[in-house]
Amino acid sequence: MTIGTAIVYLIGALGAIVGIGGSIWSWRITNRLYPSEKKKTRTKK
Amino acid sequence: MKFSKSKWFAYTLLVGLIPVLIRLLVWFVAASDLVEPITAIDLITFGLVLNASVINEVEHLPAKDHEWKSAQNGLAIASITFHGALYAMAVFGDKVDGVVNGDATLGAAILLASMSMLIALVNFHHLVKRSSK
Repeated sequence: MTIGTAIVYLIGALGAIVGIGGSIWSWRITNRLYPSEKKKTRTKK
Repeated sequence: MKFSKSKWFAYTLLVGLIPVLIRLLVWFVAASDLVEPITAIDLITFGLVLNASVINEVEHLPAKDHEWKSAQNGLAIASITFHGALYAMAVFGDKVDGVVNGDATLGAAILLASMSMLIALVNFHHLVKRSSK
């Protein structure tokens, strides 16, 4: 494997980690800011 | 502000996919091995368009979405950086033989384009949820 190919693999791996991690993080922020109706109306009995 | 799904689909997704679709069309019409059906550079362009649209979409959000805005801006800028680095490697690999494996570049481009699509879909989900409140 050449150094160029290794760099390409590294870019791909870092991109995947940032993409998946960031998407999960963003999804959680959205659900916290705008909770679904079900969660909103739930009350303690 | 009402968020239009069809507008997002037409302006972002289809415009971003134009290089990929045109190359596929040319490959189909040419019916020879002169044109490759898919290249890393077209996919990188698609990813860049999606990330640019994410930055543009979050620009107009209210103060309540401040945390979301920071997260999306950071994600999109990091993603654009990776796309830029991969683009440089793809251009370098095109000009100098044996330095960069073409299949590896294409694989990384497919992975980065998928990640950009994921980020854009999460952004889409946020805007749909926000507009329904």
